[in-house]
Parts: sequence; C-alpha cells; structure tokens
Amino acid sequence: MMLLRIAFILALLQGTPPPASLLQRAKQDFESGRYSQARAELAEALKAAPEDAVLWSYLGMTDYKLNQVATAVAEFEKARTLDPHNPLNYFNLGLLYHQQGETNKALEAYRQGLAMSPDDKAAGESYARLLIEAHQYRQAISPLEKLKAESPSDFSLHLALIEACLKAGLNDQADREIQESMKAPNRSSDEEIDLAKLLLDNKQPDAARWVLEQVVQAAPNLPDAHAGLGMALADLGRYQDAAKELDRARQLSPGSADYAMRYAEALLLSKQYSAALDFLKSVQDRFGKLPEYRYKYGLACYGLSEYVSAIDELDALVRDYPNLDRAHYYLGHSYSATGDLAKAETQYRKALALNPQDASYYAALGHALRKDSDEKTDEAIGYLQKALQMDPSDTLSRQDLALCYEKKGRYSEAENLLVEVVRQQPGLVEAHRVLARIYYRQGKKDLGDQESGVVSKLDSDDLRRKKEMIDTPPPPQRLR
Amino acid sequence: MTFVNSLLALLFLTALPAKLVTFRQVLPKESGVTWVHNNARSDRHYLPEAFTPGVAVFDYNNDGWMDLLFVNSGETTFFHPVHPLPYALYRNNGDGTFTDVTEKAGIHPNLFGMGVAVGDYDGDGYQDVFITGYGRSILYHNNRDGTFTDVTATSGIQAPGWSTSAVWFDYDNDGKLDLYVGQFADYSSLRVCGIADSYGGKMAGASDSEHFYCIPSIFPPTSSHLYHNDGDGHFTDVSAETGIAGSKGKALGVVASDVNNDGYMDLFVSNDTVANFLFVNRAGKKFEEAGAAAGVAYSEDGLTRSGMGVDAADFDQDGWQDLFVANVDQETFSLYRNNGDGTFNDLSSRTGIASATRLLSGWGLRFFDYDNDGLTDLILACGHPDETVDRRMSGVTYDEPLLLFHNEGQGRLRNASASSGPAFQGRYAARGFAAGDLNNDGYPDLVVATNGGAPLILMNNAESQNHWIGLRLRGTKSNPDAAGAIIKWSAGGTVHSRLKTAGGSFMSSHDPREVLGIGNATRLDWVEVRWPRPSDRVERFTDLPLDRYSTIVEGKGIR
Repeated sequence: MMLLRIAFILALLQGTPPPASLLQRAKQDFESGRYSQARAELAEALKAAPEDAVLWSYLGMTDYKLNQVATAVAEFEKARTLDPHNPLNYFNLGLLYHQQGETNKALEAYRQGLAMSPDDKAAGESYARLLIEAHQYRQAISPLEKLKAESPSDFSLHLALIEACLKAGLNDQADREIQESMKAPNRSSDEEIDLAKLLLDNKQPDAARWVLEQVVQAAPNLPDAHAGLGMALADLGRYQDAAKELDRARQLSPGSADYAMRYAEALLLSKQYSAALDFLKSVQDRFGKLPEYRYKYGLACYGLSEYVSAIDELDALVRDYPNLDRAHYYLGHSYSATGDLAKAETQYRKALALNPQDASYYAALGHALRKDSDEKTDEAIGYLQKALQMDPSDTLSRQDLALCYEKKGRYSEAENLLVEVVRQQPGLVEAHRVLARIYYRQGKKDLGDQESGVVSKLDSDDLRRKKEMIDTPPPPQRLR
Repeated sequence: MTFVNSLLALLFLTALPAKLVTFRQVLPKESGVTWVHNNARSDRHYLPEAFTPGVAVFDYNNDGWMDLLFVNSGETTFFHPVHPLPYALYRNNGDGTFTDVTEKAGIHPNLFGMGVAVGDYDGDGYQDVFITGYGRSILYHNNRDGTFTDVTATSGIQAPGWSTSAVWFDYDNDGKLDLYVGQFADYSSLRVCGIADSYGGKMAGASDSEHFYCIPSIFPPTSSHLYHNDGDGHFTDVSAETGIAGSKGKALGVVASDVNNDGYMDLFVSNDTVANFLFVNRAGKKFEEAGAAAGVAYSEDGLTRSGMGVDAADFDQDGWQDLFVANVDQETFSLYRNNGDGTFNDLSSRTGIASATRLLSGWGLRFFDYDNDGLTDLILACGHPDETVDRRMSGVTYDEPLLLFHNEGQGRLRNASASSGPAFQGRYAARGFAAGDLNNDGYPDLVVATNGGAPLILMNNAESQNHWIGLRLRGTKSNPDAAGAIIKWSAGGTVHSRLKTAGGSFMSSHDPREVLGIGNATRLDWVEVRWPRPSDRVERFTDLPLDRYSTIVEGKGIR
C-alpha cells in the first residue's frame, strides 16, 4: 500500500509564517510519533497561516496517523483547494478515499494527480490496483503495461497485469504475459509460485501447471511448488497425479497440515479410499484433532462403504463443530446408506439451515424424503423443485421429482420431467425405464413399448460390452 | 374386589396384546437332522458355490407328517468330489425326530444340486421331486413305496446350463402339472473374478491373486424353460411357443400365481442384475412378459436389482395377488401391491420393509400366517453371497438375521423379529427356506438351508393359541396339487381369502398344505374351495374340524 506522502518543507510555508520553532517542534513530534502534540502545534501554526496548503497537508497527515481518517480527508481537501496543482494532495486523497471505501472518489483523485504527475510510479501502481479492485480490468491494463515497461524486473507488476488481463477476459494477452513473466529477470521461485497461485485463483489450472512444472524442475524440493502443482492437477481432474505431487509436498514439509489434508483430499477425489484412510491413520498423531482431518476420515470411511465408521466420525465432528454444513451433508449420506433415512433427513436439514445456497442439499433432502415414506412426498416435491430451480441441469433431482409425481398419481407431470431427463441424458437407461413405466401407467402402451425398446437397446449395448469383457481374459493384476 | 378394582382389571385385560408367537431352535441331536451342506467352496470361487442349497418340506410317504429333503453339491465341471456328496431325505417320525432315509429312497444324484421343486406330476397322490442343478437337473418319480426313480432320461426334461428355482403348476389348465425351470446366467465361461468384478467391488488389502465371487452382472442372461406335461410321464419343451424363451434373464426365484384373476396362473420370476419378469398367462397359450409395464421389473428408481427370493399372496386381502422380491444389500427388498389394473406399487418404504432390508440380502422367503390370526405375515431368510463381505463393507455381514414381519391389518407390517425367539438374534448364511408344519400342531415351523452349514430348524411355539383349519387339497379334474385354487373361509363373520400359489421362496418347496387361521374364533362358519380350471368347481364345507388337518378331494369331499 502506498503511504501518505508529505514532507516538512518549512521554506514553502505561505502567509504570515508561524514561528519557526513551532514548526520545528511539530516536525520533531511528528517524526517521534507524538502525533497529538504535533497536531496541537500544527493547529496553532494554522491560526497564523490559515490559507497555507502545506500546513493543512501536515495536519491531514497527522490526523491520519491519529486514525482520524474523515478529518484527514477534509484537511487534504482543504489543502487541495488551496493548492490545486500539487499532485501529492490528490494521491493522498486517493489513498484516503480508498481506505474509506469510496472507490470512485479515490479513482478520480488518482486520475487528477496522475494527470499532473504521470510518471509517479507509486501512484500509478496504486491507481492500477485500485482499478482491478473496482473490477475495471481493461482500464487497469494500460497503466500496468506502462509500469511494467519501466520496471521489467518488478514481478508484482507482471502479476497485476496478468490478473487484469485474465479478469478482463483477455486470455490470449494473459498467456503472452505469463510467458513473458516467466522470462522476467531476477524472478524468484517464490514469485513464480505466487504467479501460479494467482492463476489457480483465476481458474487457470493448466497455466498454473505449466508454471509450476518449470518451478519443480528447477527447484525439486520446494514443497509449495509441489503443493501448487498438485492443486493445479486436481483442478484439471487429474487426481492421481495430483495425489503424487501433494504426497511429495507433504513429505518435504511433514509438519504442514495443509499439505497433508490436501493430499488426503486428492486421494479421496481419485477414489483411493483405502490409501486415504491408511494415510490419515498414519498422521493421526499430528493432525487427528483437526476438523478437516476428521471430515476427510469420515469421507474415506464413506467411500469404503464403511458407513458405520463414517457415521461415528462425522457425528462426532458435527457435535464438536456444528456449523460444518458439508459434514452434516455427508453424515446424512452415511445414514442414508445404512437405511436410516430419518436421521439422514435430519442431517440434510442441518446442512441446509447452515447453507441454504447449496442446491445439492435440497436435492439430497428431497431424495431422502421421497425414499423414506409416501407421506413425505409432498415435502420432497418442495425441496426437489427448489433444487431444480437452483440448478436446472440436475437430472437426478428432475428424475426424483418425477418419481414423486408418480407416487402422487400426477403421471403427466412425471412424464414431462422424464422426457426432459432422457433428452438431457439419452443414455440414462434408468430414466427410460421409469418413463416407460409412466407411459404404461397412463395407458400409453405404444409410447411405453417404444420406450421399452430404447431400454432394450441400451441393455443390449451394455450386455455386448460385458460380453467383450468376458471374452477378454482379465490381466493378472486388475484394479478398478 | 371393589368396583373400581374390577373395572381396572377389566380394562387391563382388554388392553392385553395378542400373545406373541416365538420359535424354538431344534438342535440336530434332538431332531436327528445331522446332515451338513457342502458348498464346494474353492479358492477360485465358482459362483454356483455361493447360491446353494434348496430344501423341501413335503410328505413323501403320505403318512401325514412332513418330511425334509436337502440338496447338496456334487460332481460338475468345476468340482470333482472324491466321493459323491450325500443329499438328505429325512422321514418325519411324528415325535419330533427324523430318520435319514436317503439311501433307501434312492436319492443319490451325483450332480451339483441347487434346489428342489415338489409336485405330484402324474396325479398318483404321491409327491414327485425335481432337483435343479448346475449342468443338469433330475426328475425323481415317487414310487409310492418310499423309493424314487430317476426318470429324467425318459421325461423329456432336459435343462442344461444352470438351473435354479423351478415350479410345478398347470399353465394351460389341462389338469396336469407343468414345470417351469428357471435358468441363471450363461456361466459356461466358468469365469473367476478378482476383487474388481466381485460383489462389493473393493476391499482394502485384497491380494491381486485372490479370487472372489463374480458379480453376476458380467454374465450374459439366458432363457428359462417351460415343460408341458403330456400326461404320460413325458414332457414337451414349450418354452419357445409360449414366449418364455423370448425373455432372457438370470432367474433365481419363481412363483406361480394369478395376478390378474383370469383363472390362469402367471409367473413372477426374479432375475439377478437384469429386469424381473412378470409372465402374464394369456389363456394358457402364451406368456406375455409384462414386468416393465406392471412396474415390477425394476426398482422404483428404474434400476435393475439382484432379484432372488420371491413370493405372491394377497397380503392386504383386497382380492389381488401382491408380490414380493428379495434383493441384495443396498437395494432393499420390494413388496409390490397389486393395483388390480395390471400395475403394482412398491410399498417397501411405507411398510418398513425397505429400511429393515437395506443392508441384507434375501433368499428364501414366505408369505404365511405364522400365528393363525388370519392375516398374512412374512418371513425372510437372509445371507450375503460373498463370505468376505465382512472385510469389505461396514454394516454388511456374510451371516445375516432372519426377519419376521407380522401383519397388523390394514396393510401394515410390523418387524416382529426381536420378539420372536433367540434364533432371530442369530445370524446365518441362509439360502433355501421352506415353511411347514413339522409337528402337525397347525402352526408353521421353519426350515432354513444354510450355505456350507447345518440346516436350521425352528419350531413354532404356537403361543397365540389361535384356532385353525388345516387342508390338504387334492385335485381330480384340476391339477393334483390344486395349485391356483382359491380358498375362502369365514369365522365369526370375518371372511378371508387365499389363492394357493405354487413355488416361491428360493429353490425350495414349502409344505403343500394350507392352514387357515381363524384367530380366537371358536367356530368356523364355512370354507369354500374354488378348484382351478379346468374344473372351476366351487365347494363349500361347514363341517370341517377345528385345529386338525383334513384332506379335501375335489368332487369327493372330506377324506
């Protein structure tokens, strides 16, 4: 962050000069951090020279130090009025307005100051970063390019420019800037890792992977680099590769709970539940009390169909941390898997209460209610409708809702939903089967037969695949 | 006693619940049933090993006491025992003990036996036996002298492949019992599986060289067989012309019933990992497979399941046959209520069946009235097919409990397992199951065949003391076993109805007699029997004795 800038230039004081000794004391007190005393002295000086812009600037600076930002703003505005050609007043106002959250005023102050002093690097950078913060990405690019040209070894400018390009949707330019940044003189591995983090934050995992692979190649023992690479690979859906990198990161930094948990997560995402459980057990002494650890332990048990263990772990977790909506959600899944739909519903409801913005919670609750009892069908319909409203692409909830309508005898509505489901997923044989049943229930035999034909075709295709599998002897070491 | 006390006592008495019926396990040393099943389990884990055995409760010698027949493994392409493994026919001595008469009876098939279907196919009044197996099956004719003769070669019944459940019933209403033989998947590849293609599909620490039972979904389905009884000891394979062969499945269970009340027996076939079949009988000429249209082919969600045991009964007494199918864990079992319009609704959630069975795998089962209150209850014999499941899935075990559901009336079922005796706290590798009254007290006892173990015999303690009428029906114009007969009875003004189904359970045969519970009524108003076609004769009886078995011969009255 740019600091307020001002200088005690006594010679520039205008009007009837206050005693030099008073100003000297104010300067000493300010520099010594005695801001209240400095302020009193400056106020006294202003009595002698009330139109002195510099004194108002001093006072603004002092009030800023005293955390009286609003007063400081007023004082700098006064200074600006008295001396409208001094860019420092604009820059300081830009900073103060920014701090006050008045972005537009801040931007305007910077613009005016930079018009007078276009080569002020610090102000230019502050202005550009403020443009990014204000989501005015395209406007930020030009000042950043200028700054970067002036200071090509300043990696932070590369980062800012890449961020602006990415957020402006100028991916090609971003790519060029990324390439260029990786040639920046005197760049460090840490800076490259910062670039990768920026790329990950901006959903550019492939670019992050490219950067981090170079980092890892150059410095193979940097845990941050392996961790970042693992995260990038995970974002790319390459979970097994991600697990390898995160495994390396946590080996290089065995005390890092973050890396350990990310490694466990990668194992879970790659469905290596046994490996995840083994790993979690191996680090239980170090991290076993972390909620993240316990959550992942529960998920590993769930993945292994060890639902009772999953329930034990997740239930204990939500007792200790009742606000973990995702833990409630998976606890619900675990109960559901053991057939205890009433408890599953309770957990889904808790997840939903904690985070009503997650469509999957509505979907899960609606599904459980539908499976639980015919008496809960109406309630299930409500939740499933909400889930679909939030995520219209959710075909499972659409099918669930159709099944609810079937229970209620609302076959026409069920049919409409299922027609949409099979349109979205033509290979979803279960939906075709249910749709055929709905047709038959409505006496639409021809349509039912037609749909049954689709089912037969899909079943035949599946059978052919299985037959091919049988005809091909399994290799000696088969792993799913 | 004061008036108040008297009143309290009266209230207390009227509030007493009906007496709970419990079951008592009879140990081999008591019963004499010492036979133990050999499941032929090998390191390679051939799938047929996991499904056996079936059991039959029937009266082979017509002495009025139910005998027991247990099926065993034997010689086949993947199993070569040094000595033939014994099957077991136990004669009921009528005193709670049994005598092994297998050798004398001549039942020593050296085949890899799966199940058994019992029926009087030649109408001579003696029950004949069809044993299904892997590779081949055997038809034994009852010689009426305590012995049996293998008549397979001359019978025309050739059921190669992997036969599972079979059922004797009269599909064309010609008065003779025909035979449906369910075929499981095409297992000719004898494929063995690693962990990836096994039940459950995952296990921590599983060795790559270790074999597990294959998930049946990887095997191709195949056609089952229907044999028409020609009436001269010979059968004709009519699978193709009746449409049975047109539906390829992986049959494990079958029950014959009349789901549309048209007087022709239909077939409900449970299939493993493919759609279940509901073969609707079209006037004894064709079967129309209507499982999908009826809503019984798949789960509610449109998923295929691992259909195993089945049964049919009008459990809610609305005049329509309902269906039951057991599946493997995670799939839940289904109780399908017949809507009377060709469609069914799955009531498993609302009846508690789904939640009780979510972690279980069901094989033998039976709709029956175990406390003779006149309402149809349900028993389920369970066990997971994979003996390693305990190591792979929390909450799922290889040995599983028996489940008993009591019918509370108005379509409500209550899980009564916890209060039905210590045996219901145990866990078993149950497969075949047959219900039958082993001591002729009118209350059904239970025989559970376990995979690789001794059978479990549970005697009904009959605490309810409800009254009953036992019937043995013998058709003369209609089929000899009276399969398809409709029995109605009235006691105290309450009318009940039951269709005499055939088959059901899993590779097993139940006691063929019908026990009609009348609760605490002390007088029977009447019993009416509508004999199946071609007879269609209706006979009403008002003088049947309570708490005893009576034989009714079609057109000839009580014997």
